[in-house]
Order: sequence, then C-alpha cells, then structure tokens
Amino acid sequence: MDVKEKVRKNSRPAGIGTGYLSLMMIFVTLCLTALAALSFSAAENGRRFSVRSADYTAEYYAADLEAKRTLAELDTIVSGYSDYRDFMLFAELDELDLDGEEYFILPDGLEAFWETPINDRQNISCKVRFSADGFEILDWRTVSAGEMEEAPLGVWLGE
Amino acid sequence: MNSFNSTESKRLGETVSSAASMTLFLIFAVCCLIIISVAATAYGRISKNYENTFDSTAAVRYITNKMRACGEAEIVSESELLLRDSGYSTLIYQSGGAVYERLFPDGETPVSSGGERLFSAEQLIIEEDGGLIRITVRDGEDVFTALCR
Amino acid sequence: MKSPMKSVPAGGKLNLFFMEMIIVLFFFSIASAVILNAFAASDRLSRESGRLERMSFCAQSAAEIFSETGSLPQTLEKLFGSNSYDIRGDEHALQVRLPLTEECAYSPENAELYMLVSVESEEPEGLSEMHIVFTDGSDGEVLYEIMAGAYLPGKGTVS
Repeated sequence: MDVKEKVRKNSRPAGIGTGYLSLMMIFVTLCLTALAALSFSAAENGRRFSVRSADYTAEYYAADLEAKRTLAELDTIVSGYSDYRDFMLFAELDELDLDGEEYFILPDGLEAFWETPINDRQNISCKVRFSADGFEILDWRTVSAGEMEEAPLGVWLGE
Repeated sequence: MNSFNSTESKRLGETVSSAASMTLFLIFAVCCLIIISVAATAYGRISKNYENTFDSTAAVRYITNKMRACGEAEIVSESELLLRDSGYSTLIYQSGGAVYERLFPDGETPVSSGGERLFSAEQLIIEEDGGLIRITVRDGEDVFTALCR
Repeated sequence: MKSPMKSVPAGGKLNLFFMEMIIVLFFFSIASAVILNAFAASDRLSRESGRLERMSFCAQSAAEIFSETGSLPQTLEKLFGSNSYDIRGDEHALQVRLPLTEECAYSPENAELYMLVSVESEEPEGLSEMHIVFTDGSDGEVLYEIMAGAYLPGKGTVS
C-alpha cells in the first residue's frame, strides 16, 4: 500500500461528524416548542379571561335591563294608586312575584326592594321609593347571591 | 505521476467537500440561532402584551365592579376614587406604577398610602363625565377606558 | 458501472452528512411549520382578546350612557364624538351601523369591525331596550353581543 494512501486511511474523516445536525435540530425544535407552548398558553389565558369578563359584562347589563323592566312595571302599577295602603295595590305587586321582594309603606310613599339575578353568584339589589312625584332609586348595586350564614367562629373556649 | 495527480485532486475534492459541509453546518447553526431569537422575541412580545392587557383591563373591571357594588362613589383626585359603604370606605388610588386599594373605617380620613397593591398600571385617570365616571387605565402601550355610573 | 456516490472523495462520510442534512431539514421544516402555526395562533388569540376587551368596554360605555340619556343619538355623540351617523328608523325603533377600527374608534374609511346598535321602545312608556352587536368587518361573524336598557319616564330621577 502507498504511504499516502495509508495516511489518508488513518486520518480523521473530513467534514462534520454524523449526528451533530440531528442533535442540533432536536435541541432547536425543543426550544421552539417550549416557546410556542408558553406563548400559546399566555394567549389562551388572556383570551379565557377576556371572554369571561366580556360575558360577565353582558350578563350584568341583561340583568340591569331586567331590573329596569321590573322597575317600569312597578312604576306603572304604583302610579295607578294614590293610597299606598290599598290592598289591591299589594295584590297586584304580589302577582309580579319578584325575587326577595319587600315593600314598606311610608307616610308619603312606598319603598320597594327586590333582587334581579345576574348569574349564580351575583344579584342586582334594587331599592326604589315611589311617591306622588314619581320614583327615586335609593340603591342599585350588585350583591352576592349566597346568603351570609351566621356561623360561629371556631374558637377554642378551653373546654 | 498520474497516481500522484489523482491523489492530489482527490485530496482537493475532499477539502472542498469538507469546507462545503462545514459551511452548510455553520449556516444551519446560524439559522437555528436566528430562529430561536425570533421565537424568543415573539414569546416576549406576546407575554408582555398579555400582562399589559391583563393588568389594565383587570384594573378597569375591578374598579367598575367595585363601583357597582358600593353605595356611593366620590372622585377625590384624578387618580383617587373613594367608594363609600356602610361602616367603611375604600380608597382606590394609583401610585408608583400600580393601583392600590385601602379600606378605612368611618371617621378615619382616607390617605393614599399603605394600601394593598392590586394591578400594575402606569396611569389611572378617574374623571366625571356628564353624570358618569370615566375610568382610564394605561399600562405600557395599552389604554383602556370605560364609563360607569 | 461505478456508482456516482462512490466517485466522490471520502464519499461515505460526506454523503452521510448530506443525507443527514436533507433528513434534518425535512423534519425541521415540518416542525417549523407546526411551531410557526402555534406562534401565529398565539398572536391571533392575543389580538382577539384585546379586541374583545375593547368591544366589551365600548359596549359598557354605550350601555351606561344610554341608561342615563335614553337616546341613541346622544349615546353615539358622547361615545364617538360629533359625526353624521346614518341612524334609520322611526320613533319606536332606531338602528345604526357604525364602522369601527379594532380599537373601537369610529372610522368610516377603515372598517375593521362593525357595531350594530338598535334601540326599541317598550311598554310602558319610557322603557327602551338597546341591542349592540359587534361583527367582523370582513366576514360578518358576530363577535360580541350585549343588551341594555333605560327607563326614563320623564317623571323619575335616576340617581
């Protein structure tokens, strides 16, 4: 065998060894996948939050509209009476069958209280005073739908 | 002589081929680095956008929800809103790049310090607008505005 | 006949390298396409959630103004400024289609989305319902919808 041929056979092979490209591709693909997954996760979280918030806004204004319809009905009924002690007035109000309805007769008017559900967790609590001059909204706010239970605190009493 | 020329041309070919393969490898490596940096930038942008949008929209929604649930809302200054309820008041204010909230019992003067940090926001503007309250929150490039009773 | 592969100097190693490169590029291009899609989807989701938030706030502001004024022209003027809006209908039902940008700013030249607002009078007098629908500017897909109302009989005060 020629000397040069021997040298060529024994020397390291030219170029890049096998497997480096594959390793590099695996590494880069993993990096890109991780980044893409993180981006998608962040974007999906943002979208879910936006959808929930936008849905709540729609629910709130739908409940607000319903509460205003109730107010309009109450106003129509109450304005037909000058004597707020008239039992016919209360018979008509009872027919509305409102959630949590309460009525208070005042010397110069009538106070009505009712709740309109927004969703399972929240209601719009409405308090309106009707009088000969019209109506006045005293309270129109969101409240928690769950009743506050008077549970005793778990305090050790030494017994 | 012919054998020598043939060996030399083989070696030349080998060198050229190995240089070409090395160049290709380098090009591939550089492209990979560029792709990773582009992907990292895209992730950073999406993540920052999410954080800014979340902070500013959540701040606007939090304040409007608080206003809907409170008895009375009073604008103390451009970046301070006092929500009065029975027995206590809540002061919502912006300071040092964040929106804070602090509760005060009745009779105590509300001061805009020492509250609980809610959301990061570079600017909070609360202004009266024809019987309604306009709430504007800015965080980064995102500005969100909403009106509330 | 000699194979052309064998005629290349140090053919074994180099051909292996080129073959590996071709395979790596093939798989890498497939992986890149998938990952690029994931990034594009993240970006689209991110923009969509921002747009949904803006639409929700825009609808909320419109609902609040309408609740105070009970008038569609006044609501539009306060929301988007003094422009000539093409409001159609009679005194019982009004409709308007507003071209908006993605930031929910009124823009007849660049309609990225449309805001359809319709107002209908209901019984009793003074009660009116507003329906807001946001649609995509290109395909008309419904993006967000909200109902709100106003009760302003002219005799009551809304506090």
